[in-house]
Amino acid sequence: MGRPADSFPPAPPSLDRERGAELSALTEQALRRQRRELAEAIDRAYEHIPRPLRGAVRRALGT
Amino acid sequence: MSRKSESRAETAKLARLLGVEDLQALSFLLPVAAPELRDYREAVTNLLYDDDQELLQRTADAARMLPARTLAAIGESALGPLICARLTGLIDPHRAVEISSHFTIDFLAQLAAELDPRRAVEVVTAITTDTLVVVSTLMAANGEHVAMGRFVAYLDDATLGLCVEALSDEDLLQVAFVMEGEERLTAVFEIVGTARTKRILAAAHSYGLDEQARHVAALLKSLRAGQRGAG
Repeated sequence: MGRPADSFPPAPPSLDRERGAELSALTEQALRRQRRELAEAIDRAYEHIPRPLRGAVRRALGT
Repeated sequence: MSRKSESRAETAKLARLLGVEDLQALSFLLPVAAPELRDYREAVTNLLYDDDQELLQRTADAARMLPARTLAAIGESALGPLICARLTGLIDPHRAVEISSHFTIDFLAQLAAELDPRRAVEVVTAITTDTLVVVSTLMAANGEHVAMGRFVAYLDDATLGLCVEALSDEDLLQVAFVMEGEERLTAVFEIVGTARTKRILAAAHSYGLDEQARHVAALLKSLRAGQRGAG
């Protein structure tokens, strides 16, 4: 699930274009890392939920 | 106060937020004015916190189905500190405090390092003083001075005093350098006291923190002059 480039915050105005792009790339990496971590964390969490509740939790999460 | 030091402090905060471990990788930000960097960091904080908000909110809602102890076990063994920090502000504060009481103190310190306290003020202020003091020392040991600096504004003077007592001179200087809310800096150093403040600043060179000491000393001087002018 990509995010449109214009939804990323604009780089600080006094940075030149090249450095601005470098900073934006680091921000995008941080966002991707967080998304990956969330997806993996939810998968792992199911294994810890008591079996009778897993269905209800899965429905609540819509995953 | 040097503009470069202000930018260096802001760069350190941005590096922490972006997960950039080598500060040198962001050295190109040092010529950028601190307010510009601060605005960018705020925008990135919002971006990261608001992303996947629906899924996080559904996760927080689903947490109501499980007992606090089970949630703490899931949080610690499966979700991890970053996701737990994102969830903290979405869960009922009383429930969040109850869950946190079942976390190990090491995990709580890792979670705190990922937390934006502005989004979980009620939770932060409801944690016991003893726990906050231990968490602060663990965060310092983990090198989480930037994250610690975010919390200072939310601690009352009594808790702050105990944390100040528990932290080393070097850690205090590191936190002061990157602390959020300059107006709280004078309060912190009033608690630290004149003798210890002088000792901290005098020993800065031996910690390799000359720039940080100069910056903090200049900031304190300017804040105190401002207070005298207003008084």
